[in-house]
Amino acid sequence: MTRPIVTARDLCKHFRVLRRHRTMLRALRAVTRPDERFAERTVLRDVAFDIARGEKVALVGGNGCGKTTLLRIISGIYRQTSGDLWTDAPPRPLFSYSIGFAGELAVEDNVYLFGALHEMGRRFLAPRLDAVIETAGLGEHRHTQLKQLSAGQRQRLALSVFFQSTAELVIFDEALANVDQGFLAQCDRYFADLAASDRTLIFTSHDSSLLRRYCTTALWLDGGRIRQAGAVGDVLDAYDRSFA
Amino acid sequence: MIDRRDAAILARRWRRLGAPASRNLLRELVGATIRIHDHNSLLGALWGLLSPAAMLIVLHTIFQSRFGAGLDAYPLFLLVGVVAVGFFLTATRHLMGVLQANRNFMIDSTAPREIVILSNLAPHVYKLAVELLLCAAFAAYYGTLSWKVLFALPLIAASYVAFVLGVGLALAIAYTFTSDVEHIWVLGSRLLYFATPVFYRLDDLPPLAAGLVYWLNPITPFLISLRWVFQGGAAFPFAAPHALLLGPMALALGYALFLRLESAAIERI
Repeated sequence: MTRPIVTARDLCKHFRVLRRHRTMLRALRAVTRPDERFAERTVLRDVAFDIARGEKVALVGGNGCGKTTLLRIISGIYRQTSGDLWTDAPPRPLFSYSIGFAGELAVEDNVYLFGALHEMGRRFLAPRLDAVIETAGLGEHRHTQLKQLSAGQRQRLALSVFFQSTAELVIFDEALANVDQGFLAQCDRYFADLAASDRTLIFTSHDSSLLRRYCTTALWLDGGRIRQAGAVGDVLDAYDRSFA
Repeated sequence: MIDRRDAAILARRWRRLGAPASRNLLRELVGATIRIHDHNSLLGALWGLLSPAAMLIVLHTIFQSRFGAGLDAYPLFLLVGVVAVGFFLTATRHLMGVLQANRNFMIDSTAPREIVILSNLAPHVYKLAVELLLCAAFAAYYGTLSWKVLFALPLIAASYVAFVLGVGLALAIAYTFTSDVEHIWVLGSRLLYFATPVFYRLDDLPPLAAGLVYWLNPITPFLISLRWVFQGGAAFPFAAPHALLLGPMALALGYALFLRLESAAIERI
């Protein structure tokens, strides 16, 4: 049996949040009574799962249930408060389309900039540049400043660059929200290829049909705990029924 | 103390920082930051020179007769002071807000955070390099240009950049916990201009005040060393070695603080 690409055991994550607006007086009082100033907000509790190499995992749950926090912990952005996490390949997450872009620079420059953020160098991207810009549907805007594009066009550009990544473990957090129908066909091709490959995918979305198409298993997070894990159809059926 | 587990984490982090992908990201970010720095400005990079030039003219007009009478190249003396203190103030002020300004980068990217901080420092270092070249041109004009510009200047400038980076890292972390740091820093910066021998020499002060300005103000050894490079003459005892030590020490302390509190800071921004 091959080793899982991600293993989580008893993962917990607490955030320390201010009880009330910070003032000098409260800050001074907190020196002697620190517990009064902060409250612990528990986002993840005793989360445990294995993700096998090549598995396509849908991560579902309501807003604020801890999906993004869990993905940030898997990606190494946040550190868990307790519990253990092992990843056997460097995760390549896509959380945001806005980082790594410079509005004043041309679309072409931004391809290299966004690519660098996702560990793709100029040597790797240069032969793919035309394809990336065409996929994004921005052939006429190659030298246009990025800030002159719409939010949707920037999202298409970011996804087109990200689709070039060959990382073994890819993570999409609400990646296809607000994508127009035309570009959705491009995304379909990418995810179909990814689904057929031996790469590992963790995918969060509120679009159940999307997850059913590309994922094989699912984790349902509820109130920071894993409520159900298993085959994607079973978990998503149960998740969808919970709204009935 | 660093235990074995922390040391392993640190080693892994540095390996990642030195990896080709990180170096490539740094190159792209620095290139982009410098290109957009003077975007939409008619004078562009010239503003970087006009600001110290204006300061130089004002200080020269006010202090020439009081402090510059005994000095051959008082404009060069002033320029080195304006450049050194100006770099410290603008770069540290910028770095203080770097975590907040790059919030998305910090919480939505797996790229090493040091790279964002370095790329934010880059335009200031670029501007410092241009201004130091201007100082060298002034030194050539006054006939004080020497071998020290080639050999000592890169070392002292590198140490100064390390010093500013160390202070900036500490400020960036502190600022995420309390915004009061900004007000304190603005107030301190104003006082710093007068507590640094920008327009006067240490010799102009009583011995006790000179000792205080030298030992309590960490910019002073850098400034004196830079003046020694461009103007020659006798430097304050051990100023250059002192400056060469201060930079790496400040960087080590600032980076240690950053590593220790980074996770808590990132969760707050």
